[in-house]
Parts: sequence; C-alpha cells; structure tokens
Amino acid sequence: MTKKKRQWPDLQQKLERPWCYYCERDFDDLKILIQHQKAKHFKCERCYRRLNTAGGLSVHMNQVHKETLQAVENANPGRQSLDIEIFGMEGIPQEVIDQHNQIVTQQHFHEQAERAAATGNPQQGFYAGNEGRVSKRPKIVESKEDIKARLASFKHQKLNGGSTGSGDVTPVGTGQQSPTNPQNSASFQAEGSPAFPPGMQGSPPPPAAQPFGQQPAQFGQAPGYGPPQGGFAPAQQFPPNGPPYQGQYSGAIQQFGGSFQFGQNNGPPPSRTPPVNGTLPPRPANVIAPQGLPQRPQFGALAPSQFPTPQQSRAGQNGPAYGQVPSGNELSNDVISASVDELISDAKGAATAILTADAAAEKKAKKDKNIKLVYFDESVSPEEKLAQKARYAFTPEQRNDVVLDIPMGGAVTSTVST
Amino acid sequence: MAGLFGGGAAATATSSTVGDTSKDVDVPSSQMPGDSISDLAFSPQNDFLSVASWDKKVYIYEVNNNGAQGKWAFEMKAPVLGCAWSKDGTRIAGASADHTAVMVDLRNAPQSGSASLQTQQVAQHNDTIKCVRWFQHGGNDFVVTGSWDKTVKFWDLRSDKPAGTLDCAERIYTMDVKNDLLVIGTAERHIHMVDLKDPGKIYKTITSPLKWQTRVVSCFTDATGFAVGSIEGRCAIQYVEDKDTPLNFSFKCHRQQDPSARDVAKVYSVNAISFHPIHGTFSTAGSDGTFHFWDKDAKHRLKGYPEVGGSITATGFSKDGNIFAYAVSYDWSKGYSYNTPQQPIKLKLHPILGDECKPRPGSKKR
Repeated sequence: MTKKKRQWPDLQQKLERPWCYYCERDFDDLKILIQHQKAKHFKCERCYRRLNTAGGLSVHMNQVHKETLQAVENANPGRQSLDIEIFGMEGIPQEVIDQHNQIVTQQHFHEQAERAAATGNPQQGFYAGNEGRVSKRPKIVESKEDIKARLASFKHQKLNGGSTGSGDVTPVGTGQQSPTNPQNSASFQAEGSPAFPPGMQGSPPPPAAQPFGQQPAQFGQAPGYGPPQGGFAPAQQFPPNGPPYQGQYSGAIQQFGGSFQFGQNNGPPPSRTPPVNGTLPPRPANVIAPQGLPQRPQFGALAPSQFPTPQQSRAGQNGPAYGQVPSGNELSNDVISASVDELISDAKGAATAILTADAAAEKKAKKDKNIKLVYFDESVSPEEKLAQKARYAFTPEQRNDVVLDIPMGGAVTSTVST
Repeated sequence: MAGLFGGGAAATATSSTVGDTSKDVDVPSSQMPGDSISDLAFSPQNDFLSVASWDKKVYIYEVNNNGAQGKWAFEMKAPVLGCAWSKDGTRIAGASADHTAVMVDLRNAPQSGSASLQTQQVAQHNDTIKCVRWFQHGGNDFVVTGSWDKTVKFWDLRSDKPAGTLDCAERIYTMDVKNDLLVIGTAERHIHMVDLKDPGKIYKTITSPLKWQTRVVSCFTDATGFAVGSIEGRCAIQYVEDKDTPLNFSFKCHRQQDPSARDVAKVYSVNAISFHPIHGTFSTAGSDGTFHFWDKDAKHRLKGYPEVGGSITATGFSKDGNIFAYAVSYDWSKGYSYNTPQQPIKLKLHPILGDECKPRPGSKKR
C-alpha cells in the first residue's frame, strides 16, 4: 500500500520534491522528472530521439543531423543555456537551488495563511488563543489506593473465574464511563448533596456504571458507600424535584434501569446489575443485528434493551446476604454468557454458511459467465468415451484371441474375469 | 486467429507472432490411418515417425525432404492409444485398448514395403493401456505402461511379469518420461512423479496445479519439471523440486471469443504438449485446432498458428527439432454428434524455419 498523501504537505515535503531546472516544475519523484526532461527539453526535433542531457542532444544534433543546438527547448528565459549539464536534479548551481527553495518556502507560508484565513482554522502547528492542543481523552489520575483497589478487584474477579474482558479491567476513567454519567454527577452536585465524599466526586452514580469486578473493593470502602445512598435518598424524597430529576436521569434510567430499581429497594445494589452489562460482551452484536442472521428468539428479549431480566434482578433481590450475591449473579451471568456464546456461534456459523454459499454461487456464476468449456466432463476423458463406442469396443472374445496368439496365456487368462 | 491470446498486441504484430502453416507438408491420404490419430512419436535416432490410430494400427513413416513415406505398420486387437520409441530407436512399442502393449523390433523388419511387422507382447493390464514410454535403468531398456486400471507397470521385455507396479490414485490419462523423470497424470487431477533411478516408488504426488481434468503432461527437455495441460484451455509449468516452486506458473491458451456472446470465451482442451529437444521451448496444441510455440523461461509466446481445420490430437518434434509433426483428428471433445466422416484426419509436418522455436535472445524474464 502506498502511503496516503497528506492533503496539505508541510514545508519539508515541498522542499524535497524534485524539480526541473529548465522550467521550475516540480514532480513527485526523480524518475518522472528525468522523463519530463527527456521529453520536454532533451528531445531531438528531427528524429524524436530522446537524449539524457542537453550536451548529449547537442552532440546528437551535430553528428546525426549536422545542425547545432542553440538553446534548450521549452526552458524559462535565462535557463536556456547549454553550458550547464543538467540531469534530473544534478548539476543545478547552488544559487539557483537556494533561489528555488526560497520561492517554495514563501509560497508555502503564503498558502498556509490564505488557507487559515479562508477556513478560520488555526494554522498548522499553531493553536488559536495560545492554548495547547486539547486532548480529547483526559488523563486518568489514579491514586495509589485506587490502583490497589482496582488490582484487588481484578484479582477477585480472576479468582471467581469471571470474564476479564478489557471492559472490566481497564481503569474505568473517572467521569468517563458513559456519556450520560458525567451529566448525572453534575446534577447530583448541583442539587447539593454535600455528603459526597471527595473521593467519589468524580465518579458519577458511580457504582452503577462500574463493572462488577469492582464491587467488592468498593464495598470494602464502606464509608464511601453511605453517601451515594444519601445522595439518592434526597432525590427520591423530593417529589417537587421529581420531574426534573427524572428528566435528568432519563438516560441513566434507560441504561441502568435495573440498578435504579435496586437502589430503591436496597440502597447499595446499584452496583450489582451493571455487572450484567459488563459481562455481556456480545451486546453490540445484538444491537446491530447483521443481515442474514437468523432470529434469536430466546435472547431477543434480553439483549437488545439493556435491562436485566426479571430473573436476574430477582436473583439479586433474593440474595439477602451480601456474600451470596456475587455467586448468584455470576451463576446467572455464566448461564447467560454461555447461552449467548452458543447463540452467537450458531448465528456466526449460519452467517458464514450463507456467506460461503453466496461466494460459491457467485464464483460459479462468474465462471459460467466467462467461459464455456468445449469439453466439460471433468471426470471422464474423451478417450474413455470414445473407447466405449461400439466401433472401438474391445470384447472379451477378442481378448481370447489374443491369448491364443501370444504365448502369455497365463497372464492374460488371469485377468479375463474383469 | 490473431488476437486469440495476446489480444490487441497479437493482432497488430501479425508478422512476428503469427506463424505460417502454408508450407506444412501433408502425408498423402493414401498412406493415412483410417481413423483418428491418438498419438505420434519421432524416433530419437532416425528419421522415422510413428503414428498410433484408433483403427488399431501403428504406422511408421520415413521422413525425408519430400515429406513422409509410409514404411511399415503393425496391427493390434483394439484401438492403439499410445506409441513410443526406445532410446536407441530400434524398437517401438504400442499401447492398446486390448489391455496389452506390444513391441516391434525394427532390426528384424523387412527392408521396405508395407509388410506387417512381427509384434511381441510386452505388457498386460486389466484395462486399456493409455500410454507407453521407454526408459533405461541400469543400462537396460524398460517399457513403462500406464493404464485405466489405475496402475503403472514396468516391463523388462524378457518376462511376462511386470518388473514393478505402481498403484496410482486414479486412471492414468497421460504419462511422460525424460531422462530419469517419469510423470504420470491421472483422472481426478492427481500427478505422480517417479524418479526412474528408483522406479519402485512414487517420488512425489501432487494435485494438478490446474483446476480441471488433466489432459497431458510433458517433461521439460532438461527433466527438471513438466508442463500440464487441462481440458480448460490452460497450461501449467511445474517444477519437480520444491526449491523451484517459485518458478511454477500457469497460463491460459486455446481459447476463443464466442462470436455470439462477446464476454464468453470458448475454452478448448489442451491436447498435446511437446518440448523442443534443443531449445527447451515447447508447443501446445488443442481442440481448437491451433498450435503455439512458447518459451517458459521468458513466459512468452513465440508463435501462434492459424487453425488447421480440426482438433489437434498429437504433436511431436523430430530428433533435431527441425520438424514439428501434428495430427488433426476428432478428439471427441464436442461429443458424439460431431464425430462425422467429415471430420478431417490429417497428419502434417511443419518445418521449423529460422527462429520459430528459439527463445528470443533479448527477452528478459518477466
């Protein structure tokens, strides 16, 4: 693959382009420049022979056509001289090179400025208002404790044999989890829940979005847990605030509906259902149902909307002791993920089967279209067909004659049976 | 016919790439076989040409400046599908649908005339013997026969028992020997290679590089590899040793544009491939009734020739490569209904003039 050309080459690239001494044209590469020179400047007008240099052309004209070359064809004024031997980029006097570079540089900046003016974008390498480039992904600043907690949760998850998909392990960037979440946290703060501990500030309806794996660790930080609850409670208790609250939370509700319910019931478990989200990797595949895939009735109810199934939430609810919860969840998760895997592999198989069938059909069609075999019997040679004709048929009687004729009867009779 | 392969290029450069068949010499019809020609072979030592025919006979012609003169013939019990000369040119073997192969020693032959020759059976199979070749092992001459009974057998000419038997994957359709290389092409696209220094076992088995039925295999002049022709107008160049595999390639040939549908190519079978004994270039000939000379190293077609009036079923170069013989007969490629008496049966001798078969000196490898 060739490298994609930059839309706006930078100055260095422009300066590196080979250019023609005679006409100041620049080219993509040296070979083309040389071709250009042979075609435009070093071509003999009499016989269309192309020479490599002006000197060569001069000698050629002299010897072959008995003429003298006066000037280089198609050259800019002042560059027509035959005295300088130019071949490609070789032989160009330094001052001419400097001059050329200067022109190119000037032109480059001129263009850039014009472009900046036209588009209103900052020039390449500059940022308006002197601010540095705003990186789109904020830095993840994790304290030692956070890292340790994450490690612990990871280990825990490993021990449980849970999925270790990247989604579970990556530092779930604070405030970065889902588009709706930051908004939520903002609203929380706006509503003035002072109980939010500083550590939790950035992490929005935090546990909710956090993957399952982190759960235990968070529970370990017991103090951290109360506040969110507190944060929730007021919101629920404010009927007048109800409508705005709901409006603000609609996103969250959609996504974490199950968890929200939990919150109402138990307080803590908001974190419990997200695992379902976290450990169901196949989601995207479900949402974007590929064409040609068979229907998945079983799963359809569960997957497309991200709500946990009643079954799951019930499992969560029924588990009174906290310690049991993970196992309960995990069980259902395992079951689900197993069934999901199965479904996916089924669907995949079906899809690939369809694809390959299509491909085969297409190939066949193509073949059929383009060629017509005059002899098309793949498994039998023409000679064999011919030999079957009555005219050529070889009958056992004849073979017996052979046996009589030739003193190799033993060998032959042993084979007559065929 | 120009433009068959090279497209426009061939059409414009008619003089250099299209050959002339007008000087080709016909074998007079009075001396011709009475039925389709299945195989032909030049003697490696003398100016003899043997021709095997479906009329159950093998004809031997003497080739001189005036053309070919019928010299001898011998008859078998069923159509003869193959013939071959021993290395010293003294004996000739014929392979027949009567499940046998016979040998004729020309040293005992009457000096002239069409007198029948004394045959001696050398091989016996359980089905039609499709091809026969000679080779030398330990200084002795052997005959190798390939049959539709899926075996290849070696015969030492003295015993009625084979000196060796190779069980092949399928019915043997084609076979060729050069020096110590024996290549066997079978049905279902198997190709066996045998090192004749160790004829007891198959040296290597491959599936044909071509996607369709193998029609013919032919060893290079230097025996480093072989060419394969298939029913789908395609020819593959295949080297024996793995180190040479980068040199393998295949190319299309013997195809025609269907006049009724422009995007449909009529694809003919490649019936015969012969290597030039000196230059190492080779010929292909097909059901479309054309033959072409190629240079495998330059991947170049040297010459193409206009249609000769019927399918070409067999080809061969004379011992010094000065004559290219080709047989025009019906090869059954179009089925039963085309097998009419109007189908020409011809045996033609094409003089190789000038550079027709020489690799072009400046032609670079592409």
